[in-house]
Amino acid sequence: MKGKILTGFLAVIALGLLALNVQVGNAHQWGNWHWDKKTIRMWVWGSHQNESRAAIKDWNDKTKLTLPLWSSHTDVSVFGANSGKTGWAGLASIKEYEFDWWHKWCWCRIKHAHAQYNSYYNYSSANVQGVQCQEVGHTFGLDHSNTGGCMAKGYYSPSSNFTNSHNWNDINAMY
Amino acid sequence: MNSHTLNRVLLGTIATLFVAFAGQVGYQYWFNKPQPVLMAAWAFEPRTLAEAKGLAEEVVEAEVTKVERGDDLVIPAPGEPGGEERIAIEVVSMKVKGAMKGKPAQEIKVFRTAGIPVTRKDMPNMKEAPPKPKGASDPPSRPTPFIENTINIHDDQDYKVGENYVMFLRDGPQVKIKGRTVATKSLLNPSTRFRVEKDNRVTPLIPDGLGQQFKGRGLQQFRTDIQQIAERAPVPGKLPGQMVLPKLKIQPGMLPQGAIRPRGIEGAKIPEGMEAELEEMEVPTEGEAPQLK
Repeated sequence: MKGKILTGFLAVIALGLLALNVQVGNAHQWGNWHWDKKTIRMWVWGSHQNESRAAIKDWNDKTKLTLPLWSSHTDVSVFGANSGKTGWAGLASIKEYEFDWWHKWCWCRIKHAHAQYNSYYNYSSANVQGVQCQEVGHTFGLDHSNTGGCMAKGYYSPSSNFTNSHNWNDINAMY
Repeated sequence: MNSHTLNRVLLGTIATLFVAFAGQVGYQYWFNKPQPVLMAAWAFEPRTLAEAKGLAEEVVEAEVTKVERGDDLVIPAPGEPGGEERIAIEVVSMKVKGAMKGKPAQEIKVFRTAGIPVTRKDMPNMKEAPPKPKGASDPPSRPTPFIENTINIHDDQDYKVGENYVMFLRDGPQVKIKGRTVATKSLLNPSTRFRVEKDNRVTPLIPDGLGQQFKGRGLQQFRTDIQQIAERAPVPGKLPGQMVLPKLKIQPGMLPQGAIRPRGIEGAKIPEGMEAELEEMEVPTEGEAPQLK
């Protein structure tokens, strides 16, 4: 009887581990990139800080994430800087990452990310906020999506310079 | 099956599952370390072929002859580690075979954001290299090996020597290759890059943006389409100095056929917010390029 209980217990553990190992990707998720926390500190520097802060506030107010503004280098750097005629007005990059041993079993846990507005390109304030809204969304692990909001900007129609309910749901499903 | 056999089968299954699990985790840990890609918001977002032609300075048909690394773009970034932000770049040399707009040179250099910045932490440390043998030449000043097409913007896909493309281009940045200054062109938008296949049909490089509607079109027909279409160029907007693409007039059948860039809900009625999307669309004006370091 003891042996059967032990066998059953081990079977449940093994199946559980296998289930955990399935890297389920949300359709609007950028690969498997994710943070292991809901409070992600943001450091704003460079040009267009008002627009960057407004974009962060949009995500902070509408999703489960808490995004405190920090005064020095921290989890995410959000900045405006002139990179010249690169063709892109915004760039999101994952600078540091580590192996996720407890959730998705891959090199996909974000440790540090950047969201840059390329200030070589001059837009109205609303559009700068829209670019940063999308770049900041990428740093949380979101892909472009065809369901509107700023994560559709430039890729799908309709889009906007703000987050929308689909963007909120995508984040809330991840965190 | 008696209980003893069942027990052995169960134990065997469990052992197999554990081994499979450990194997998967081990594979992920040792062999599946990703090169993170970059995500971009492109400055120019044509909604139609006419807008793409209006925004492009040149439309060319060209063959890739070389892909090489350029010196990193370096932005002063006080407070970031190292006090700077580095973006790795590549320069793609192309032999021009024809032009549908503009008068390009016979050979052009196309700027591309890609590659590993030279200061990346997981690159080989030259301080740990063995001592230089007597009479050997000095090691290269750049410690990072050039591996083309590593770390790409997700939708600005790699170029391979010998490939042929139709591309919508604008003037790109002046960059340096091993200290030498080079003028480049930059792609208008990844959705305006089309590979010419061996059967002389064009394939858009990305699955979104406006390019998909031309998938499989014959090269000659595509050339004619581009040459004949009346371009829609930016016009002054309401704000001082602002430029916009004019409001799109929707032709019958345009929306269901997806003749503008993809909509959120294909095949359904016009989604909320679509009207605004078809209104005037802001186009950035360009500022002063930074000094190269």
